[in-house]
Amino acid sequence: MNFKKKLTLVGAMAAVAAFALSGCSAAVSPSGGADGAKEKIFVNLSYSGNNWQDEGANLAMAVAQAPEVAAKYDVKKVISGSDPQKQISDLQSMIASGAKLIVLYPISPTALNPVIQQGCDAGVTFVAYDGTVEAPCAWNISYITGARTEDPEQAFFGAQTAQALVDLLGGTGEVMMNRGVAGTSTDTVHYDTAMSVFNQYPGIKVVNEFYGNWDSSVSQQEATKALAAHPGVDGIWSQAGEDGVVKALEAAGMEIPVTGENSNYLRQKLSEGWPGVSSGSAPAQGAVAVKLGLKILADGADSVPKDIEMPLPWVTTETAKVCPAAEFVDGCNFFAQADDSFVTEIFEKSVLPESSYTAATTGAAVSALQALPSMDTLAQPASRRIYTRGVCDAGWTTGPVEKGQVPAGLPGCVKK
Amino acid sequence: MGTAGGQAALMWALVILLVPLSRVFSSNFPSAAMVNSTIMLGLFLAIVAFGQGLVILSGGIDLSVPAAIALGAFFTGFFANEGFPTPLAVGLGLLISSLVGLINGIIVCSTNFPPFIVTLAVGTIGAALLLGVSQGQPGQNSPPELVALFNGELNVLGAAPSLVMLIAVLMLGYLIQSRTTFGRSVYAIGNSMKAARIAGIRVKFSTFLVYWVAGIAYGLAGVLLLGYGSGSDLNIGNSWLLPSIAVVVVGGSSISGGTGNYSGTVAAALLITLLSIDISAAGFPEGVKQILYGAIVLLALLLSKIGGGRR
Repeated sequence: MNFKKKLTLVGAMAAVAAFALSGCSAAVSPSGGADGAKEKIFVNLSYSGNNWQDEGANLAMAVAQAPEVAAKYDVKKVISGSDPQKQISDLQSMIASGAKLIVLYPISPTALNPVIQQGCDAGVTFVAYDGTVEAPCAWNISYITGARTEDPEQAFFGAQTAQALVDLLGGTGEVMMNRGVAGTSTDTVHYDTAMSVFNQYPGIKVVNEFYGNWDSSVSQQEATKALAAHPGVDGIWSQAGEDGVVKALEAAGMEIPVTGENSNYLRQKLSEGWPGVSSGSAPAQGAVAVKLGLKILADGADSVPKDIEMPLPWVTTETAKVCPAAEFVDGCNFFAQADDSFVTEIFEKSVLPESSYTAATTGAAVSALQALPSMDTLAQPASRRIYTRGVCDAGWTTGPVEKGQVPAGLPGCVKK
Repeated sequence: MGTAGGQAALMWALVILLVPLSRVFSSNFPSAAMVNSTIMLGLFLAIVAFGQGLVILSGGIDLSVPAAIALGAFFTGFFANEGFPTPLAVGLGLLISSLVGLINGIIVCSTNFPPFIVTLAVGTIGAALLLGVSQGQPGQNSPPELVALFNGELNVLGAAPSLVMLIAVLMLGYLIQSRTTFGRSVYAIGNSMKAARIAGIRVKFSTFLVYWVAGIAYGLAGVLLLGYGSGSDLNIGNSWLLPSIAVVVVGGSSISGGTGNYSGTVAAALLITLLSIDISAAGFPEGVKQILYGAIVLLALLLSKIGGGRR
């Protein structure tokens, strides 16, 4: 069973709630007479309720509703909750209603394959963001296998943050791991690549693992429990929810290195001298996916690579810096006015210059779209394809990747 | 009452016994950090279980817990960030979250629909409305007064605020449930609605009140969770529904209503929390953790039934 990144597990109630809301933006309702001639674009979102999903959705809609897009296309938003079956039936409705482009947050990498293939056959363009789909005809934009901009050889969030933690600890110490949602492909990739680093250091001992479900509150509770048992722990490796981990540490009076994702609170603590690293998934992906889809419609399928890797943000104790206002200027990278669990990475200078704090928090349409530069530099190396497509490209086979990637030896695709 | 009191005493004995026994799970146990964490995390569960306990005592079950918790957390944060003084923000948060219980109460007491369906429906509507009003944006930062309750900076006469709150909640909950006319009438309704009616108890009004008070309790848990995490996702309440039912029953209350006391529920909340800390400390894989957790709930249930004697 594959759930998805950042979708904290929601019960039947939340799914029903999201379903109820999605009714307001019904996928299949006939469009008004004036819009009848326009081609249709759908932005297919997941359950909203945590900051990551909220910002990703807002940014995607802010771009999709830009004046030049709205003039040409009929843009609709559909929320599919957390249930793959619901997303499949929503996608079927969109295809049936004549969708030209569907930008989606995929709930499962595999369950949507048949419906996506069916849509491709009907001439629909699919762009998946953050999560990935294995259907070969869809575009993927994801950070899961992404590398740092300063050094493109340093790939994988899990591995890079694990290495950073090892370095902060000088190669020896007891480590705890705050994982995501059990059984999801994203959690597995992060965890496996992190363990491959920890296992290289005999001095590093993983004393406890818990599942914080990418949720700040659950992470805080689980960290509180684990810290009671391991008061001598030296560092914590965390997926999203790390703001809860830091709060549990503060309540226990411990200031030890923490690596985690992009919450405003972790960056604030880093800027105050807390040892650690902030990296991981950027909500800006949602908006980049919409721009990518628009470019495919305008310039054709060959104008952009099929597999796109978003670069890994990387903020440390030395580089964390509060922004004077609502922009990333002069190397600043978090906001004084934002909530603790606000995900700071709403900008992507090269491909999303039109982003703004307002767009991320309200979804208000951006005033004008900037042209997308060549995406070739962000193409995913074929050696990492197995993580997002489930298979290697033609002419490649599975095997350990020894060259061009740090850490060496991770499973991947190699040339036959 | 004798049996319920016996079960409560047994639960407290188990809690006290488990503190030194925690050594089995970790060489760092028992410790002050372990006890503090148990009290802090047990406090939230004890408050939620007070509401759930009243509903179960009256013969119902309440599935609107997650929605009411989320409403309390969200609106307290919302009003505080709008510049309202903290006590007013908390009051408004409680008021709005109690609407879930209020509507539950009105429907349950004026129809004969099964409470679990009514509370499921009302909770679903509440959560959907919250998602609509918030437009998917999560709860905002907590007012600093609430954060101070949990971040270790504050102490009340040398004790952690969570301990003081737990004792206050225990005493208040016990008084309401066992020593007031309202509480006594809930026992009577849970035992036999017909008999309660013949005895002159205002069955409808008391039933209504049960759900309303329960809604306020969930909202209070939401307010405290906001302070604990200084922020809240809209699904912050989801992880508390099933444990709230479990501790009420483990604490010696009958799932069909009419028996139990709140002291047993609080002891069970502490017991289950301490066990989950022990299981976490032991470092089992996640699957094993869940199996152990389930098995221990069953075992505690069995023990409480034996200890409490036959009914």
